[in-house]
Amino acid sequence: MIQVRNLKYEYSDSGPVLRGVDFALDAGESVALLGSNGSGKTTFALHLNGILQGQGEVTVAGIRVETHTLEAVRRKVGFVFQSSENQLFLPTVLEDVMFGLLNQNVPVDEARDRAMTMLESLHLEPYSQRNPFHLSAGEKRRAALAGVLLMSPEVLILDEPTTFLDPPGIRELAVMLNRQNMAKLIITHDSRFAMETTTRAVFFEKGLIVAEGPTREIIDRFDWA
Amino acid sequence: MLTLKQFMHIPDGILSAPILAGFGAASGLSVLYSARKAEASTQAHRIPLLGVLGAFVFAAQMVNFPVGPGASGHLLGGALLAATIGPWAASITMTAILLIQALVFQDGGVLALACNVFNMAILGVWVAWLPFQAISKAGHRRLGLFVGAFLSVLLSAVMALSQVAWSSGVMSQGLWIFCLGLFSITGAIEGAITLAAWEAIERLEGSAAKREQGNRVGAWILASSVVVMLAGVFFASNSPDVLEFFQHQSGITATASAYPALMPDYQWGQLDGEWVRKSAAGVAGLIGVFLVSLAISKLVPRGQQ
Amino acid sequence: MQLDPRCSLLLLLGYLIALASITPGHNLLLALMCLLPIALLLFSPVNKADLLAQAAYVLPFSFAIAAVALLRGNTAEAVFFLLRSYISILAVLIVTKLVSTLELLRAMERLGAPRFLIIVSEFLMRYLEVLRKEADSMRLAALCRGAAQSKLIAASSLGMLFVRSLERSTGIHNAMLARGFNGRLPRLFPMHWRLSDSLALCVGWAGIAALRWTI
Repeated sequence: MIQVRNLKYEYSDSGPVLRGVDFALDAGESVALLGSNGSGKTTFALHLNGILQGQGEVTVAGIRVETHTLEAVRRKVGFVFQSSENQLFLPTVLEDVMFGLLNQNVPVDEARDRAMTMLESLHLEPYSQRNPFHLSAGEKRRAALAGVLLMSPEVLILDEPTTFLDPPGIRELAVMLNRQNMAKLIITHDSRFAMETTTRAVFFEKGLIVAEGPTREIIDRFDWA
Repeated sequence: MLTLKQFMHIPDGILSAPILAGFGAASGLSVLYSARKAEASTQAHRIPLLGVLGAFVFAAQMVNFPVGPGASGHLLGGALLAATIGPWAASITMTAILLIQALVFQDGGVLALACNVFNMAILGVWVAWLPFQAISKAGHRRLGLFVGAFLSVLLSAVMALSQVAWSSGVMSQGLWIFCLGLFSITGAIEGAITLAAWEAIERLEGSAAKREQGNRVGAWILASSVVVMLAGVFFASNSPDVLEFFQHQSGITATASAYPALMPDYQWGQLDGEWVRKSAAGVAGLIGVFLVSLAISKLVPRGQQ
Repeated sequence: MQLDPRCSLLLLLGYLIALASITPGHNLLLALMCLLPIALLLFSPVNKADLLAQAAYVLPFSFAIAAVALLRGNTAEAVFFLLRSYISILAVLIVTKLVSTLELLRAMERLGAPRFLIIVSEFLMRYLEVLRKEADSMRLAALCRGAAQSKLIAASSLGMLFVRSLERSTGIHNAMLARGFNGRLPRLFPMHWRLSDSLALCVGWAGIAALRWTI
């Protein structure tokens, strides 16, 4: 599903962030990205939907990620950002959840109906007309997820999805994710969440993947609990 | 407590219909044009930036900036926006700010947007931008920013008070001079805060944002015209000019047809105060010339202009 | 009866224009014009006392104008400006309580306001509380470190708030791109003008005009 070869990237105002990363993700697989802050996890993930384009080869669902394939790639990859506040950028929850479908040229009425169905399934229907600012952290996270899931991605990437969530919210999120059959890539510092939602983990260090294996094994090896 | 800055947000119910109509037309056309220019020059990634910076201006007004013993000021933001995102985008952002202020916070009227938008989003932005551009080119960017912010507040406030005076006729020359003094202080405070914020931004970000080209010539003419007109009326001589002198000497004046003049003797209506009547006539004339020129520029193909 | 937001906006503007056209010296006419928003207030599902109190927000500005008129010995003119500004803002308040700001912005767009301006306004509205909350957090953090009166702290706060705004807008744009944003924000909710809106507009404008110009 995802194939990455020798990915290198450098921000203009800092040194190299990715130093030649190789990575593979199979369909239906769920993998955790672990590692210290600044080790390159998010920068790596942003290459998978073409937000960043570095040196090396990135292929998603058979499509090479290049400038002219970004639209097709972004239909395959759903990205839930760390900041739900930035992800839910439209004035109401319903409009935001509809946004992705409208960019796929789904008619407005159909997009609205599908969005409402998704919100109902996530118990967010009462908030459909609310400014996202007024939702709790857990509600924002579910709304952000709703907007992404509605696009039926083949790969789901979540960047620190448990940030600001309380323990019940984290458990609820884990249950929701485990119900999704698509390939998943989860960037997280929450080792328990990683063990509940992923079967394999990779460990980033200074812009490289230095280890990969079963999630439990990687957590124990790097004392990441 | 009523502050001078609140005078810049004129509420509904104060301004007269002719003032609203005139400035409404000017604002409407300016906003339409600014939106086209801003959209054309704004890359897609900057669309959220303009809205977020508008929200920044609101939030910045919560930051108390100490300016003296027991006194504090707040950033108004027009000059900072112009310097960081360019005058067209700044005009649209300021217009958006004024819209939200009117609709959500009732800070400034809805109909009065006709004047508030002209004062703060058009005039205020361009008289901040032009000195900043000109003085920056001479190598004094900070001075340019200060001067731009100062003039932005001063001229916006003067225009607002002029509109209120023209509508209500309640101003006197003494009160004008007093208000000009206070507006100057407010302008200086805005300049200081803008400069301080700019320096903080540069420390954090380097050059904060790309600046965009504006219509320097046209807006410079507008800004300087308004300044010269408002100030110059104070000092204009009452003696007849050469043409009037010879008209009188030759007796033409006695035989000339009396057309019903819109603004006889370059004064408008029955407003209280000669300076007010003459200034009103001056601004009306400026707006009229601007509109006619704009119409001509749209109708006549560029090659023939 | 739920009116199209455009109809509500046009009725409001018609009323405000009629008010603005009344010149000082016609206090009786002005008082009669006040009946329209008062009647609307009585029949609207809004907190009447709250709105009447909120409308007084504009009075400090009007008091300044009225005070100068009073100093010139013109009491009627002072009352005129106070009353006209109060009733204007009351009318605006009633409409903004009945029609959301978002709907009013979109109504403006349908009536000719530039779409680019309305999009910027919507983003502004969305992030207004977010940025204010951030500014408040920064203010509290500075206070906790004993920095109540410091130009450096204030300037640094403004600078940091600005830079965070830049970063936030980048994050927003990335989120837009990730969901297929192609440079054009789709129009989401079409407005449907009905016969009842036409009737309401005609009756409303006729009523305003009759009160303003035939009395």
